[in-house]
Amino acid sequence: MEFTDLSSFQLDVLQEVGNIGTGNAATALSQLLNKKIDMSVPSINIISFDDIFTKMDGDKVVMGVIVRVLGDTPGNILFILDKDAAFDMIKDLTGLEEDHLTQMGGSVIAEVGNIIASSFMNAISRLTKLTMIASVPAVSYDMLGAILSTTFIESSQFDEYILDIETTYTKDGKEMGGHFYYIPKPGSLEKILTALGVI
Amino acid sequence: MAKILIVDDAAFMRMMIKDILEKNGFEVIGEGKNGIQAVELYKKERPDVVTMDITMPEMDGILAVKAIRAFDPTAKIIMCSAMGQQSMVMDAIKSGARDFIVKPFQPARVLEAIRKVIGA
Repeated sequence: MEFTDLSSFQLDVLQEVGNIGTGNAATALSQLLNKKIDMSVPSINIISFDDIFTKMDGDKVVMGVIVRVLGDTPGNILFILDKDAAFDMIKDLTGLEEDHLTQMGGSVIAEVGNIIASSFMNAISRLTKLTMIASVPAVSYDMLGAILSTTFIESSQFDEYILDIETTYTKDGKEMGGHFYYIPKPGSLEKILTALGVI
Repeated sequence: MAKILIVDDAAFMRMMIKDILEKNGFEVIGEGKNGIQAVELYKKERPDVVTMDITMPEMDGILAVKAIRAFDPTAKIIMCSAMGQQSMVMDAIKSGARDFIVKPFQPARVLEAIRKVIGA
């Protein structure tokens, strides 16, 4: 199936799947940080590959945690944090004030990514009865465009159009510079839609 | 004082668990960052309880539980993982884990699980 062939009803279902998954991830993040975390309604983006660089502030340096999704619906989960948001989080959780990424800081960001990605997968798994298994997280500190394009290619999405489920998180009512992406491999969305009886 | 072995690939998570345990009178006798280290440390230190992550490089926590229980069928192991899916919990319990804590956790939940398995 081409992503552009998805019906509006199917997109609506995927949005709700994204909502449940990222909502659980927000709850987990909130428990970990002991702060109120809100999120935007997830958007299902079908964008052209070139737009990653032109429309999405691809030159901005960010911290990204990539967790590979294994099991029934393979793909990748990417959690992006603005540099300042990442160092704030490291300080909140360890008391360490860092201006460059140390081993302990990297471990904080990796574990935050692991907990968020796993909560997302646990929720989708409960909903669909599909099994989703998380890989060990990998942390990278690079330009947004580089991290996104690597993740899309890793998800075997090298078509002209790519699909992701994206949510933005806010902490204590302020934009916290956190973005969550689920980038399914070809075939995974169909499995989720089939499991929910809408294909 | 019960001796605890902490196994988690994230240094930060080991630090958090160690902090909770030491503040409550438990002795942390070792820290492992993968399943292989977990098995080696178990054999060497013979802890009373092990907290075990699942998703780890080299050897995952489920395999480590099986290896430790093969060496000592009475080993008391508590899983501590973000992967809370039913199939994963069942795998862990079938492999011999006594309890399953889903991350993120409250300190009280960790202490309750440890006190329960040591019968305190």
